[in-house]
Amino acid sequence: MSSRFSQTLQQAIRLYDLLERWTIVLMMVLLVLFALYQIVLRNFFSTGIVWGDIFLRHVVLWIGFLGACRATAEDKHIHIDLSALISTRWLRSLLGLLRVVFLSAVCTVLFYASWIFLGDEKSSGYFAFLDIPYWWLQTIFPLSFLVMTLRSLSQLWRNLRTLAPVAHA
Amino acid sequence: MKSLVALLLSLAALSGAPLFSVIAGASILAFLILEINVSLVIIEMYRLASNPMIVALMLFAMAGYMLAESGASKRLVRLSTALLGRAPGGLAIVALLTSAFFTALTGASGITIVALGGLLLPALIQDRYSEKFSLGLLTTCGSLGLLFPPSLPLIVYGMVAEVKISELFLAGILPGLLMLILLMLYSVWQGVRKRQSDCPSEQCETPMSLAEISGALKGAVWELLLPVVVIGGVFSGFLAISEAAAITVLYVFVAETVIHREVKIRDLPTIILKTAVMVGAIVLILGASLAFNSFLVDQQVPNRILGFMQTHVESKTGFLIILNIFLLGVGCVLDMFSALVIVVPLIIPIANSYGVDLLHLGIIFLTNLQIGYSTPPVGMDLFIAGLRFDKPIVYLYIASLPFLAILLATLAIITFVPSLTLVLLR
Repeated sequence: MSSRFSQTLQQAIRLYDLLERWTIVLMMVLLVLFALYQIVLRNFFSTGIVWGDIFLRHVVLWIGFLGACRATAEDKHIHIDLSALISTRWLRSLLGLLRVVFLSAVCTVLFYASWIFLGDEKSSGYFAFLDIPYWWLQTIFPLSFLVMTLRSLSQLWRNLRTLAPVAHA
Repeated sequence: MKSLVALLLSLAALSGAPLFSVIAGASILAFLILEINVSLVIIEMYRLASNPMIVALMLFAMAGYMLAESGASKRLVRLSTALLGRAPGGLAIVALLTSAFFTALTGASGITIVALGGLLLPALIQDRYSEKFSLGLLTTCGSLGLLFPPSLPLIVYGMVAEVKISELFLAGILPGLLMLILLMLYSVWQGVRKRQSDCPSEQCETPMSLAEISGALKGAVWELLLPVVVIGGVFSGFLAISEAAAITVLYVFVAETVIHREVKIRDLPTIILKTAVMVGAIVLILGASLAFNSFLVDQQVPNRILGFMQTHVESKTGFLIILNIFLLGVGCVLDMFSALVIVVPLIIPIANSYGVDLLHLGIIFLTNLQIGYSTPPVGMDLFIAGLRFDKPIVYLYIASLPFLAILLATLAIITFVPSLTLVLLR
């Protein structure tokens, strides 16, 4: 890989990371403020926003799936950890490899599945609220699974690079 | 073919692949074999967006993380030490009460051991409790209190089993208290034994300090009022669960950022990101399991298990015993959230056929999974405590044994005295 391309790639990754973090933070602030606003409207003015609940649930869906993307980056998904029981180095490397190959494969299929899902939803033409079609809200599925696929593939790349000298030795 | 798929999935899970990917992978392979369009996985996942409890889950977790970053744990320990520190077993009771309080509000995600363990372990050792007792106590404390509202596992059970969360919140209170009281009695017994060997002539009795109590009370008053806000808001009918969660976030924000000024505004992005990562991991497991469960139902797996059980197990008691043994096993291998989302839908039709109330089933479930948290090979409490206290896991396991025995006794009472769970609802 040329160093210029690699630099641009690194920069793009950093920029996306930043964007992802701030989207999560701003959405959480929006979630709390909007939920509180709904409570005030309901209890003090006996009114409310009809589409408020649908909106809130989708905001949580977005925060959750973006959070899951971060969990992939930070390796914080819930998993079974037997590494303390395995002392053989090559076995541990092999299991580590299996782990990322499996994760990458599943994320890739999930990305493909959500792409088809999104296409179907788009052609159905239903609206969630106001003038916003459902499929806009559902773009989080292909987006997050694409990010998780890319992150797991980059882990796989790193794993293979560290494995090479082990195999060689 | 089927056994090859099962082998691949088990290997993936054991290699440490995220459990969501194992569950989603199982659904994908199942749909491929059945020649069903794979986009059904996402259609099922999207059902998450129609569950109102998902909002409560996110907001309560957010409030919990904010609380964990503040000095709330120190204030709670100070207050209970002022009240109980002089009594036999006092400090151990302090550990139990503050942990239960803290876990209920922060979810059983290991935060309790991290936030309170470092504070309580030196205090217990200094008070001349044995290291083994102290470590066992604190390891067990890590998941104590998850039967109390508004703990995240209670909410997740409610989401999966489709029972009313407010009723589930009430159902957990008495069983949770029973567990707490039995553990306290054991601590008092240990405390009395310790005191007899420390100072046989009772010369080291020191009087309770009223000034310290009132000072500590003033310090912790905001945290103490929090359960009143949550429980009061929900049960007065004034607030829906997700609204109570939003109010909790606001309340904790005001208490810890404006009044105590321990959580700074600039800390909030980090707290929000931590919340999103943890809830994101749970949400993904929930979503993947929705797809997997639709496959199981399509294949009539729950019905087949039900049929098998009905031919082999006649009584409700027999069913409950088998259920507990099975769940203890599940709790050893799976984390709480994965266990809930995978196993609950399978068990519900069976429980219904034996006339087990779904609220009662929920409390049995969570008690089992709580015990599983402190048992090998995948007890999360053991791992976190091992990391936090820098002790080998086997040592912690042995240290936890007496506490596990008490938890098992509580489980037996909870299982066979359903009225303990249901009496508050009548």
